[in-house]
Amino acid sequence: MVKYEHYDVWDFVKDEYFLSWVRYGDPEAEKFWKKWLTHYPHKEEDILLARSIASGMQYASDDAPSEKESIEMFETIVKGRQKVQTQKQITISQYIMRYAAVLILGVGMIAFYMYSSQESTPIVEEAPVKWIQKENPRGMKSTIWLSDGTKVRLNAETVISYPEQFSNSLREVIVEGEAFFEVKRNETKPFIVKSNGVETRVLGTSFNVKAYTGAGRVEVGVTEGKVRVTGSGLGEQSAMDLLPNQMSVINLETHRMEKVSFDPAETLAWRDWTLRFKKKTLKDIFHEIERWYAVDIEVGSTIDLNQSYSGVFENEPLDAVLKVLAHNAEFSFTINDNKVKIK
Amino acid sequence: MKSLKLTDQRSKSDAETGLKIHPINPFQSLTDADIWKAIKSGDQKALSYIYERHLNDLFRFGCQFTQNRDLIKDCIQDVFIAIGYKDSNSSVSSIKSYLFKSLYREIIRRLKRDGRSKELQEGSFEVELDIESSMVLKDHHREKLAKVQSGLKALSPKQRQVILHYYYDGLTYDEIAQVMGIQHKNTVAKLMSRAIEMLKQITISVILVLFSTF
Repeated sequence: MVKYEHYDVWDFVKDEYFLSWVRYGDPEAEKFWKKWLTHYPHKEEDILLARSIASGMQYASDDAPSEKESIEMFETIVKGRQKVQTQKQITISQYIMRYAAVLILGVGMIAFYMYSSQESTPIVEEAPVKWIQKENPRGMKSTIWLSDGTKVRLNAETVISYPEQFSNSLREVIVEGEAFFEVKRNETKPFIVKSNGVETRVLGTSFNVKAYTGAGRVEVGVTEGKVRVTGSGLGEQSAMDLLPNQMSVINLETHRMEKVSFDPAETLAWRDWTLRFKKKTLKDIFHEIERWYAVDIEVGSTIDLNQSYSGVFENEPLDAVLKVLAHNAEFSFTINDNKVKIK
Repeated sequence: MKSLKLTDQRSKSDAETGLKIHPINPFQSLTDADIWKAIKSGDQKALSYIYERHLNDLFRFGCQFTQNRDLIKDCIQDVFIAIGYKDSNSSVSSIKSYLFKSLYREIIRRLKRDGRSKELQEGSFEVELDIESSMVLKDHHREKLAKVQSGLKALSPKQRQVILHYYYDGLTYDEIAQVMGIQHKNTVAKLMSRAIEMLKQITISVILVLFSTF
């Protein structure tokens, strides 16, 4: 009960238990909230407002199928399903053919080839795939090799998921964070990287994917070969082909995709343990340092985080990097374990 | 607008009045997974139940991406025809988000097939705050709600989509992630909390401006 004492209107709007009352009329929740209000009667206005907001959100568009349309559509659906049902029965008899073919395999290979070549689209049930997940915490980088020979370098604060064995038709991995891929060429099995709703599809090439959760954007930069990037949720028009030294920047908020050229030396410096900034704001630089050295940086209010700097640090310790920055940006700093204070 | 909501048993009208709008339907007490199984086994009543229940929501969702009514109708039909035949091995735990996702895919597939990808709009997801039917009657409450209403226009389409799916369609973060093709529900939670934060800031700043003019 006390938990909600200091809630404002918007805290209520977000609260799941509050919603189970105002949106879904859950009787338990209703009992609780009514009782709660008797203890905190001065909150009644906030509760009323929150309730109006949470239950008043609706689509501005108002078009719906008419009764007649609705009935016609359902009739089409039922007819359509009957038709598919019949087709399905035919497919089942093809299945039986296939099992027959497998039986004949015991007798002679030739028979098997004859049947299986008649099969235009073989339906192969794949065994459940075991997925592996590797995670780098802040301050750590690593290299892994996938079962197809592809080499992946993972930056700090990065999670990659991939199947123990790739399927017969494609190679699919999921990345959150930043990773550099050197993909083993295989024309018949495209390699797909999924990251924050952005799909990068290649046959064999080298490219970098930067998709940190919360960054609001995904960057895909290519160093070799050709890459196709698609943003899910936007359809075909969002597909973009990239050539070496081109980078696609996808803004996840506006869902715009933009092609820019990029400098591999800067973008990929992390691979070689080199911290490199080119006209980056202090805000970005501090963020990068936090990730790089696994520290938390606390910045005093007098520091202007929007001034930008350039610099290269090859495998330098944290205090050396901060010293150089402090000298240029005119701040002082203290390091205590993994806490950095900047004034 | 209100009459549309009646088809959703979890809608506001039910919650507020406690009335059951639907006649007692045997499927109401079943989980989505069970209803799904029933449809796959050929139960036409189960099919008709989810059709009735989700048709208007699906249609409204489709309208966010294209204005072509006939196309939306065709796509909805195809989605329902395919239930249980495509992905025949997968079970479905949330029918509504599955239908949304399938409809979106179908709209894209059709437009692409017909070479009309250009007609595909970025999901508009205009939100409206229903102030009229709100129980709050005091004028200063109405003014506050009107500010929220104008604040909604400042949100990005993605943020509006999350808000509508969450507050209106009653989808969970997991289900929204599925519909929007987002890998993790945390990303949805972030979109949402940023949207709410923006609304909060907008409402506060408008109030401040009003005060300062006096």
